[in-house]
Amino acid sequence: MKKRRTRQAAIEARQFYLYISPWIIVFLLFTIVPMAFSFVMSFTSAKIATLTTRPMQFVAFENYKRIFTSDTRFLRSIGNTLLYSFGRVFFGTLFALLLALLLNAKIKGRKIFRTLIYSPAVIPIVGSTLLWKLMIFQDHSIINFFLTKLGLSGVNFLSPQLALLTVTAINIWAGLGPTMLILLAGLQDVPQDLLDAADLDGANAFVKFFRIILPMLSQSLFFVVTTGLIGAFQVYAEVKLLVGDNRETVTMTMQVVANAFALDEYSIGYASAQGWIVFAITLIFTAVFFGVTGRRRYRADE
Amino acid sequence: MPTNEKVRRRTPLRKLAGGIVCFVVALVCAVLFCLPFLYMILCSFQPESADIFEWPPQVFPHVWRFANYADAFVTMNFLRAFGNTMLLVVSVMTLSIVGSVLVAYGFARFNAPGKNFFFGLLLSTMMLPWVITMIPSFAIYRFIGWIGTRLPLIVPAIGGSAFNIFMIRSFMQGIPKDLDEAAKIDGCGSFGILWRVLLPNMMPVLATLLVFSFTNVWNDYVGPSIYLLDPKLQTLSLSLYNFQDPAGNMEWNKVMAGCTMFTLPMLVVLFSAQNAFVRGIVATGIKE
Repeated sequence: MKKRRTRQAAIEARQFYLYISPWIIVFLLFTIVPMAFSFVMSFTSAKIATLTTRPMQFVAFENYKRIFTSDTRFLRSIGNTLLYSFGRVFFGTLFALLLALLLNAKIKGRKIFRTLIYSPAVIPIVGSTLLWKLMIFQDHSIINFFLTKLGLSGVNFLSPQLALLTVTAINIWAGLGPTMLILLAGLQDVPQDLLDAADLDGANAFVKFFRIILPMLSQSLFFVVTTGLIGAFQVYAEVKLLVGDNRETVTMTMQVVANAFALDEYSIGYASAQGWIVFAITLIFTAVFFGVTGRRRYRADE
Repeated sequence: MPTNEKVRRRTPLRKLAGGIVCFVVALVCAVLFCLPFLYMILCSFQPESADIFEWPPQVFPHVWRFANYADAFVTMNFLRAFGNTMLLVVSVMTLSIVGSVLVAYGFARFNAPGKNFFFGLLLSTMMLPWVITMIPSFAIYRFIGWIGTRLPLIVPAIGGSAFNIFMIRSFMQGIPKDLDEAAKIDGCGSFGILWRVLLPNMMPVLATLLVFSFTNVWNDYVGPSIYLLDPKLQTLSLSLYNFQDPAGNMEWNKVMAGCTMFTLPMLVVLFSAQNAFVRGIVATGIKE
């Protein structure tokens, strides 16, 4: 009997590995191998043009030292990315939450509002960046016209003070719809009896929001913020296509790509080291966020 | 619910006023959010690029020039770019769904030593920045001669994506195991159970993930910008830059026509699959 059970278990294990083998193979070939390669290269001065013709030069921690001591542009890009990420995730989630609360109220035409607010997310990135270039970066653009009407003439959205803010705001606009839909779904899971009971106890809207709705929404909020942060740390096309390689808005990933494909001065060894810094930053902030929220998240099964 | 009505302290009048305020705020937000979209469409009909920059602006074109679309069609080499994009979309979508279903099935229905480890590993790949693997992958693809082909964008899809696998696995776990057992007694093998019992029950989640993959591949700029620089392989997101003359100037009315044409299929997909789509977004906030 026992023998049969172990045989059964062995068959099951074999089937498990058979079914997940497509992922394992792809993961090994297209993730683990490149990662190992990237890790090794980050300690060398490998250049993409001479990768196959000349052996890599081992430089120990030289690349990492250079990142933190002399590469002010990359340090700046870290700062830009962090500011962008926090702005985008914090305000993006806040606005999405407010809109979700609004649309959760039983108002007429809810579905149409939902669709309209979602609509910016439908425009592909390349299209929406071109659209915004047209709307704000041209001399006689429509938004500049309205600002002039309001007495704010000649606002330069690409000025050092405003560029990062502009980029963040546009991306909040583009990404709000999906976030709002997730939170709206979370809101619809809040049991009506609980809210009715709170009404019975004479709770006002604020008490209801902070004591009932927010705790029950914590799982959805957690999801939205985690994925939002991870995505924002790696932002590339949304910024690159909108404003190019400005010092004020350059992001970490843009720097990595720029260094990897610049054939002259920089090297893929150096770019790889930068890539690992991006990974480290993502890990650290995600871990901190997990740690901070770990005990406060409400779970439906508890 | 008569008891509830009694405890509600809000008078009908206050309730009505609150409703109107909510409605107006929602209306303002909705309009603000979709105005840029409308502006894009209006600009695409302007007769001249300069008409967009009139001061004060003429939002509605005085003459509607539909030929912008024909011009954009030619400049973008639309048919070719559309074909290239669809080829990527269809192949990535198919491979990724097939791969994800198989892998998710393994995780959802079979026990094995190391299962939790591999699942954790799978989820952690979502945190991995693409720039880390991008550089060595590029070097490897160059070495095996895949640069300038679609292979780097298509082949890795066979392994499924962490997000898809996670979603399909959650959904499968919601399907009662009794169904599997019954099929097993009837002589179904493990693949038969997947094919005949589970798959027919999974259409909602599959539809959702197909819409997601469609959107991702259709919108992708980074992948094609690295691997598909050959004009013959150009996708729509790259072809929108064909409007630039060497000095970097563009005819904005035609660019906007191009953008509208690029967005239209997305709208069609979203409206025809709206339920699948909303359900999917909803399910991403899934409670594990």
